[in-house]
Amino acid sequence: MKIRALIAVLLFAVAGASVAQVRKVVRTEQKYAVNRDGSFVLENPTGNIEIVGADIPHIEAKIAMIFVAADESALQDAQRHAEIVTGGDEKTRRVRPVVGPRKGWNVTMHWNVRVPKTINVRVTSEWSDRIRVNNILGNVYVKNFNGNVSLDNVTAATFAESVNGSIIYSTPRPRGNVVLSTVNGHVTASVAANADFRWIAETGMGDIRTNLPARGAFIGTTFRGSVNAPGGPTITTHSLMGNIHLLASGSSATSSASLRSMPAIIVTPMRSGGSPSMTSQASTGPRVLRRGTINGLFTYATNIGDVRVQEIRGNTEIFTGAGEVVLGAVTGSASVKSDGGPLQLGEILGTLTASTRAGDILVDSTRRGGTIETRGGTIRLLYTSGPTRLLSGGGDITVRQAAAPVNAETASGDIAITLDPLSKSEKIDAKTGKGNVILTISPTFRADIDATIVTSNPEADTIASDLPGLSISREQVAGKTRVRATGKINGGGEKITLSATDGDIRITAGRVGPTVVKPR
Amino acid sequence: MPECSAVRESMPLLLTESLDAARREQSHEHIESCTLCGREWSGYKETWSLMGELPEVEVPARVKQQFLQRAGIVATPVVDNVVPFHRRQSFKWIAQAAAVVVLVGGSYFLGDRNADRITPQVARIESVTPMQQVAYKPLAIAETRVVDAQSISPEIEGRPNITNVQCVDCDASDGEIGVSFELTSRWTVTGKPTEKSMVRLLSYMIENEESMTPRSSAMEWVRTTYSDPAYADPQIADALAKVLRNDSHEGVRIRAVETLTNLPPAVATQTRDALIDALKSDPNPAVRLKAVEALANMARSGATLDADTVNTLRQKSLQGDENMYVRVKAAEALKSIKLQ
Repeated sequence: MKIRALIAVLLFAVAGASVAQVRKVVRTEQKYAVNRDGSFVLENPTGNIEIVGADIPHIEAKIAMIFVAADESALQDAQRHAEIVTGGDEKTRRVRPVVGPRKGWNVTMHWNVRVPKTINVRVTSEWSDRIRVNNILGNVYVKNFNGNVSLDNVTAATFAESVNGSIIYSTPRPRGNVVLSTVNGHVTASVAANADFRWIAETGMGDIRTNLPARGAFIGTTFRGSVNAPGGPTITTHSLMGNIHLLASGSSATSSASLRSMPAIIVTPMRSGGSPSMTSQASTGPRVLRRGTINGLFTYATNIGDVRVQEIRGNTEIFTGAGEVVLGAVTGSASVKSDGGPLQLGEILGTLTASTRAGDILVDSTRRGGTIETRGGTIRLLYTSGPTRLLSGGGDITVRQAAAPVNAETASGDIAITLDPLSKSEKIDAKTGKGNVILTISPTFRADIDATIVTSNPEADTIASDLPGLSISREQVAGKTRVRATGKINGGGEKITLSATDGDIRITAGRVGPTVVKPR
Repeated sequence: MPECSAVRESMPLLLTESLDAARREQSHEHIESCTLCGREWSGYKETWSLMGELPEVEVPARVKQQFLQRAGIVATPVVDNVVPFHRRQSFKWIAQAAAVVVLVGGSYFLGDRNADRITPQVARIESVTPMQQVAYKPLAIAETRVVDAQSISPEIEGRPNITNVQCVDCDASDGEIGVSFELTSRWTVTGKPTEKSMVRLLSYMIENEESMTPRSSAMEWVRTTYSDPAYADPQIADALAKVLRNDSHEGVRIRAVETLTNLPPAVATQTRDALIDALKSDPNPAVRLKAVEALANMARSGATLDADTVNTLRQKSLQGDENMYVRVKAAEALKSIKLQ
């Protein structure tokens, strides 16, 4: 009973207080002149903001000023002391509310602004439920303290920061670098499935998830990698306490995978810290050439020795008679040859020619394709968007994402090739002297398939396809059984030739998942 | 008579001297003249005097209130700030509980007093019979199996693929029948990586070419799991050594030696012979390279390598037709070797 009475008293008090307060909404419309390549700066401490780019010559702002005062006289005082100040010039138009000393009143301003879509936009706020910027071709800068930030179709350089709010970024093809940072909120970025960019993601307490074919490595809590072809802008996503999602446009977060829980490819670490032109005698090994960033052509040859270079801004030719080669990134073409030793190559923007007489080869990406060859060892290519030939004298060959023709051959080992999900048809040749061939394609991939296995155990070694359209024939050849499957899938397309001896051939419909590389 | 009834109605007021003087005088005159009204008045006066002798009892407030309300003398008060008082039943419960205690205690006392007394004796073991060993046979994964129908649940879960069915009746006189078939069902075995059954199962799978496709991926998974020193197991290392020696699939041999390289040296040491064989004669340079790296790892970890191993490494480092990188790695391994 006491509680009921207390509630009644409180309600009465609140009702009384609200009756006592005076609330008034004042709506106003303003126009500001600005150049098409100018900037719009809005500093609004409190209130929601919506800025939309349009094909208009000037800035059109609709402002709703909501005054709340203790009484009528305070309300009049509020209206006298709150105004919108316009400054700057047509190159940089600055708008901000100016509010005098508040005596028993408060004002919140909600903005709905249409701007020429080519201009740059800069918004700062302290307290708003939401800030939304939409359809802007210029640079965008948004800083908020409380409240969410939503950025749609902002293609140029973008910076968004919030403390207690989440950030949602949705742009099919970013052209400039993007930084999305929050302390207590989540970050969600949506881009086209085939957009090319670098991705940096860091979270202290949350998870990093994506359904795009990202590939990269964790350094502490930060994931650094690339999505699709090497190069492109960098999207940096940072949240201290929340989750980070990088999603394909139109897809759901439920289809994303956690990068932290993903099995990693173990590689030799790229040692850093060497002086730019240091050639040293390692205590337990051959000579090691270590370089940081090299501008221009880089040519190096040694009879015995390792080569480790973080970045080459130009073409390169490297030879070692015996030793491993580790390259971070090459902006030009790369020719890397070792007479023995593993090769670990990062993003190669030009054509790649890599060969070793003994050892594994790991290539992050090659934009223009090339030739990768080992006399014995495993070849792993994470991404290629140019015609690529892969040869192994013995060992597995894995191509994680191919957006171009691939020719892979190994004397003994499995071959696994996954086509880019947006590839409609590519020419693929895969041949193994002993082992399996696994081809993963999208369900809509078109191809003329010619798959053959030669086996001494036809019951165990089979050809299987998730996609219909193949007819299978069998014949005996030199005491072995040759099983051949031919046909068109999805109406036919480029020729795909798959050949395996004493192994299976599998054509599966699937998609490319993220790849995490982990230093040993 | 109408006057009589009017006088009798006014008698209570006459009794309390509430009538005005004229009516009072008129009423007394009538009572003195009318016998019936006189008796009635005498009765009133008697009753009134008796009531004066009775003790005065206070009317309960609630009753008084209700009475006054019904009489329309006072308005209904607002009572929502008054919590109605309900008589607590605790004394009743206490009394009931006490009664139960008395009854139970009394019964026990009486029963105990009248019971037969057993004389305490010292316990003594007369004889010991060995406990029968309970036959518990864990389920084995087997190629063929003969089971009793009683040991199988009558429930069939899902739709398992049963093929090649044969009805057999070995002994017509025993009243039993048999049915033999091939069953394809998917098993998921869960357990700690260190459990013997799990280790044996994985070892069997690693050694058998047909069990895992693609084997390279499965080998990668084994490497990730068992390279953790907490899970390292000699049986897994043995299985990998067998693969390294016997498998014709070069990709799988590379994975096997790679996995051995990543196993903790204490476990991998027992596979030294397989590594030396691979280093000596494997046609794939990547296998030889990883074998020499595995041996170098052992040497670096402080494991003592025997003379054979050292000789192989020395020969390899001097072998002119060997890949230079393999020779360099053999030389590096020799640097860290601790001789027996």
